[in-house]
Amino acid sequence: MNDATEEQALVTSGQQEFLTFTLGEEEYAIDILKVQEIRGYDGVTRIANTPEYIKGVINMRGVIVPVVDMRIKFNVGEIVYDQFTVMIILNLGERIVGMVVDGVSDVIALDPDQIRPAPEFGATLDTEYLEGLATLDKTTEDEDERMAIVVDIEKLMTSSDMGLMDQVVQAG
Amino acid sequence: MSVDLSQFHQVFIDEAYEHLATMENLLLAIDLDNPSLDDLNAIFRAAHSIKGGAGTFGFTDIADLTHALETLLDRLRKQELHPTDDMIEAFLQASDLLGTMLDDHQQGNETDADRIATVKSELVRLASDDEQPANQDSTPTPPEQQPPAGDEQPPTRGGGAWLIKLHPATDIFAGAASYDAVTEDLMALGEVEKVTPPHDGQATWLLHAAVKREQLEEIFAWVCQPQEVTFEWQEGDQPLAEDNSADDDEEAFGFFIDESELPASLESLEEEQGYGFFVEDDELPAATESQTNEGETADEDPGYGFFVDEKDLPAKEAVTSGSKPSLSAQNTSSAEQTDKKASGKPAPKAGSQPAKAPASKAAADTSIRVGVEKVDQLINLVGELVITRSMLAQSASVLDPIEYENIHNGLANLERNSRDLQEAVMSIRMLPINFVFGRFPRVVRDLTKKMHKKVKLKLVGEETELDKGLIEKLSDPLTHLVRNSIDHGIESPEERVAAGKPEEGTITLSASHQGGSILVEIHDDGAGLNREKLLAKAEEKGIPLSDNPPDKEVWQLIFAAGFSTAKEITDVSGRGVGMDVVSRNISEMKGQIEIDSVPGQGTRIGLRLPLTLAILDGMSLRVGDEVFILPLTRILESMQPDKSQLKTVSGKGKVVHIRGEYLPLVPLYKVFNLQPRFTNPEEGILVVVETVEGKLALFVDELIAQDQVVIKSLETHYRKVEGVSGATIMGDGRVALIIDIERLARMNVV
Amino acid sequence: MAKSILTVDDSASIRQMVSFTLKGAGYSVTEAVDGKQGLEKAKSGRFDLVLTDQNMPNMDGLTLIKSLRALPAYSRTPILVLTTEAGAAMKQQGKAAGATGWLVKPFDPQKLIDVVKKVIG
Repeated sequence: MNDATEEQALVTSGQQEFLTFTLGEEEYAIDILKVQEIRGYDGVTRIANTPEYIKGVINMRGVIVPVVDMRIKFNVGEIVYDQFTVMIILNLGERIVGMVVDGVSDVIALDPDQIRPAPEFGATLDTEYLEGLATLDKTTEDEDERMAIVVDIEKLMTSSDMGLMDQVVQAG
Repeated sequence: MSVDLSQFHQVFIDEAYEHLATMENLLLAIDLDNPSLDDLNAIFRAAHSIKGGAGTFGFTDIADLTHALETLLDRLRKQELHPTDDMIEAFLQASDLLGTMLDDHQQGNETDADRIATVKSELVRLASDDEQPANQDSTPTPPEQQPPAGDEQPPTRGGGAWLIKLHPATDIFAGAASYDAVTEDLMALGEVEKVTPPHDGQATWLLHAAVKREQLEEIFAWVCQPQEVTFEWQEGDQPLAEDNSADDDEEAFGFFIDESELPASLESLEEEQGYGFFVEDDELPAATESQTNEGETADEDPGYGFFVDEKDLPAKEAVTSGSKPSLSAQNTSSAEQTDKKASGKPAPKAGSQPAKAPASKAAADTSIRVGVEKVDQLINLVGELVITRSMLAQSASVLDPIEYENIHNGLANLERNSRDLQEAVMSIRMLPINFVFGRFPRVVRDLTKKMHKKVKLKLVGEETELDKGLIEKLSDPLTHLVRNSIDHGIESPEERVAAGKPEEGTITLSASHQGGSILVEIHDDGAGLNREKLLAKAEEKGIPLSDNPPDKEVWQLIFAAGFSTAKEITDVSGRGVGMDVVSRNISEMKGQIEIDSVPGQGTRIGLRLPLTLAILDGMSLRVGDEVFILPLTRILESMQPDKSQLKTVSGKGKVVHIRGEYLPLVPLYKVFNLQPRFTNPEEGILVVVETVEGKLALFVDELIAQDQVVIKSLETHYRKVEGVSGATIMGDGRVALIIDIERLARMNVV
Repeated sequence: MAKSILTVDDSASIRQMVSFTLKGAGYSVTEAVDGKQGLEKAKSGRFDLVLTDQNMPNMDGLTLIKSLRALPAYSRTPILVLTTEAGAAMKQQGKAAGATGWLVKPFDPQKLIDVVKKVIG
């Protein structure tokens, strides 16, 4: 799934690739090696008696995968489901999870020194799951300097906050 | 080239486990009063095979123990000893120990040496017991005096001799065997007196050597049937001048360099190497290519040699004429035994004679071992194929049947083929239930012994096949149930006799296919469940029960956590754990437990399980926008109720009156929190399902179709969902949840 | 071309060991689980050497040897008996059946190669 040679090249240059996505006003970056694919929001089967942000399950080539809507979970953005709604399929080692976000923006490469520790600030996500803040290179001259919040997506998704695993108190 | 033998260890270990299992099954089936010779032979063969492999692959401790086992088994199959319960017990102990030793070798642990010594000495003791031959032979056999057999007691040297009587049914010396060759083999062991010369194959020798019986058996195994020769040890007082007996055999086996065995000096060189040829060296194909210099080679290279003295054979002729390998009847070096005493070296030797007439064991080549994950991958892929097919079929359904006849025909074929493929692949996972049942003879034997009860186990329908995954999960609950039957069900022999029952109780384990499910039953003819005792216990434990509960409800109490009615706690059962685990295990397997019990007559516990965990015959149904699957086997009927059938019971919600029964009405849209098309049961459909708790009427919008679905786990990437046992993928690629009726019944959503 | 050898033994571990050893030495090896299958495989193929165990289910080694010798194609093919016992009586029986030689079990792999080399080069 992951391109080993590419990974190697990046490791040697000290850089790591990230996928950035938006949730409301904020831009988040996640390790691209955790991303399996990006697809539209379609064919989700509802699961009863679950928190609202757990949208249900989908069929990912024969595997049944849960879908969470981060917009609902973090109460940002506009909750619509149409042909523009995107879902990032995350491959977190043992687990596969679909994650609905406002939009996918970019794939960026970051040097480790571009990621600074996250201060205690009012990000939507709990600081516990943040790896730091990254300043993004300007793509055009007239663009404002952008900042991305680097998230440890595996830690977040497997946390009891998300309720995607069995160790969590069962719903219903 | 060096070969690392350790690479074959796993194969050997697997093989050894199989032999152990065979051995145990046969041992448990032995009728002590009338043991079958075939079975004794088969048990011997299993032990012998383990020993052979263990020797080859360097597991000397295992080889050593199996040797002791084999010695005793050998005497049994030759009917020199009669099997006793002690022996069976010792065999089972040995078989357990061998299993432990195999485990230990696998994990690189040391096996408890004391335990090995204990088991071994017991085997040796039993093997050295004197006993009248069990078979009444035509030749009267005097009581046998055994020389000390076995490893603990080396044979005493000097006074004593073996009287060997050969009395075959046919004149074996008229065939391939020769009297001289046998005599020569005996002479290799010690001084031989030819008491009676051969006549019609019969002959008697007196061998002055305190060798072990099995050494003699080995020689004669090549000549005649085991029962055609007798060996009697006779104590004597005239010491032998010389005793070159191969007492160094005590190591059981391991090596084959046994010069003292070799009759001729000419042979000694090559035979030391443990092999030889019956033909001239240069008759071998290799010789014609490599131009081996006969004679010299043997001397220069002790790695090989010839069986016969090349000078005695027309060697050159054989090569030049190109005749077939010489099989001349030249007697094998009859007068050449002079040199055999020259060697005083330790001469460890082969184990005893392998069994004859082995049972069929050809399965090794007709089956292959494949990892379960590979099979499961196959099942998944076929599942995908089935889904893809139904997606295609759905897309093609809009095409004109005449114009696109080929496509429709092709799809029909594809459907048939993929269904067949799916069935074939599923069947790979199916195993006979005997994989579980097979362990119970031992379990029952051990437990009855411990509990001082008498129980006969009957197995019925062992060949019934079910999914491997279920078989593994069935083992524990079944063991608990059988234990429970022996401990609580079957009465003590005295109680049974007093109750006018046969002293020996019977437990029957049976399996049968019943439609789409399999029924496994444990039936005992014991005391039955005691309603009063159960009720009292329930009260004591504070378990709520309805007033005057029906038997069914009372019986289910035995599966409640912490519930045990045993008068005193035994180490077999009665700890109050176990039975609740049974019920949990069975419900995890999507199974049901049924109990029937009649006081004084016994108890029957039935486990109803799906055939497989991977596919399900289901009914798809719709509630709002969602599709659900119900296990078809649980559906009793479906109907559209009319108003008069619907009643409201205060506090219990709606019930539906169907043929005299009032069934709770469960609207699925409420359970799964959906927006249904209908909220009035009269407009929708009621599906009556059967659960352990009784019947339920599920209210749904509509029924869609009956379908075989591939069960997928929700827990792989998500987690357990209440009221749902799994999911499947429908023809349109969407996920549908499979309803867990048992959970639903307990969720009490009304 | 590699010399081909048929190895007949009911023990999978021994069979694999023999097969692996001989393949490593450059021979081509076919396995059979008992005398019966050995005979079938011998009939359907050509072998330069047959190695057979004595005690096997369905058909034992001696019977296999006798049956092979009755076939014109195998009247001269070397056949070695793998045996746990090497007394004169065994030798006599083996020889009478038509075996070329014997090899005592257990043996180490190198010994097997030596003997096979000796027989077929």
